[in-house]
Amino acid sequence: MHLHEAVLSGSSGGLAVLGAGIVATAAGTAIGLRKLQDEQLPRVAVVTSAFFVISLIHVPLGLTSVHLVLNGLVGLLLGWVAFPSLLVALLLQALLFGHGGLLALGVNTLTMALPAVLCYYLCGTWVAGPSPGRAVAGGILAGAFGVLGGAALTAGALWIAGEEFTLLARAVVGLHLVLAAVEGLITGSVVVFVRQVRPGLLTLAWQAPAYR
Amino acid sequence: MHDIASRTRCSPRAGRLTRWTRALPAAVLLASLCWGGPVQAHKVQVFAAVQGHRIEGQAYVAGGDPVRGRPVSILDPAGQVLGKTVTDQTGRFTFQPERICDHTVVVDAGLGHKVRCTILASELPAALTSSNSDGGSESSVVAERQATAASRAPDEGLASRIDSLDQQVFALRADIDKWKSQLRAQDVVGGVGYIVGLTGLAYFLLGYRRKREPLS
Repeated sequence: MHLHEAVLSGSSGGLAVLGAGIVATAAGTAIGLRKLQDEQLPRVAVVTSAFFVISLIHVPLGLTSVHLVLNGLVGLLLGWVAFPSLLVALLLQALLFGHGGLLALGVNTLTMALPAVLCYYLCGTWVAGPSPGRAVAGGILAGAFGVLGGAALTAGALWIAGEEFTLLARAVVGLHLVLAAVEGLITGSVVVFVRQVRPGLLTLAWQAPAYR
Repeated sequence: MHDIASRTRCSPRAGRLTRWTRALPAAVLLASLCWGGPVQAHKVQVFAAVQGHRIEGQAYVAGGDPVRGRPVSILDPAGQVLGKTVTDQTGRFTFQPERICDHTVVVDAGLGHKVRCTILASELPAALTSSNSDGGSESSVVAERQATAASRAPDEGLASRIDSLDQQVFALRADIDKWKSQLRAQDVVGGVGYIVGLTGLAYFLLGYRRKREPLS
């Protein structure tokens, strides 16, 4: 799901996407850092490490391979802090493995973190709420929405850069519907687990006073 | 991270200034990371080399799965398309070069994965016509056939041995290329280490700031 800078830097539309990605990611990271409370730092580090490692595990599927993203879960656990967290994880992936490249870091962070933040606002109340059924539903929705939102933004970025949209849309929907189902189940079960073991992990992010 | 300064409610301007000076080491660290980090491996890889009189190559996803049935275009240094082909079931493709110049192989693996690999003019067999002659493909094919015939003539056995050596070297180069792109455990552990280190750095800066501006 990483966009490579070589793909985008070829056309003027692609350059615009790269630029817009950098600006939007800078803004999101600034908001995230303002919302970050110092006692949350270890959690952010753990979630960032988990995201960093899990997206390196590739599962062959059809013609290509997919990897778990779990940006919905990152969003549920971190909220706006998903921006700085994913920025660090993607920076390390770009430096160590060449995924995407440094120029595309902004747009890649945006495509992952924006759905994550939306998951936090859309599903956060359900996940942290009193009803267990709603919490599971919220987790599944967040997992699926994180993947599909990311895939849609990626396809949109490629479309602006001048790729054929129908081809892209088919590939994106085909590949990521499966992944969305898997991630929905994983995120749902993680939510159930966390609610039983450490409910504070979910509610703290949601209910903490957003002082800055 | 920034909330401590505002929570202490010191003079806001001084707080902002110290905030920036505290952030400086982190910025320098990040900048040096960006500067020095080599970016080698890509998720989709292509390897191509000269094999006999042809350019052969293979495209694969880092980790080993071949990239099947994707378009491959071969470009000259000016970016003009010399030819197009498609990868087969094992991700392999071949191309017959017609003149001596740098050949850039571009594989479009779809969904924004476009990878390239350049074969230098010096790697191509000298039997091909040189880059500035505008002789058509026929003359180059003839020249190539003559060259093949000439090399076969002295010793058939030697030629076949050289051929098999060529193949072995090609396989070896492909292996090395694959190995370079493989995910290595130490990189993964190193990445996690960086994240832990960054957190430590953030805590260090927080502690330092607290010492300087104790909570009232």
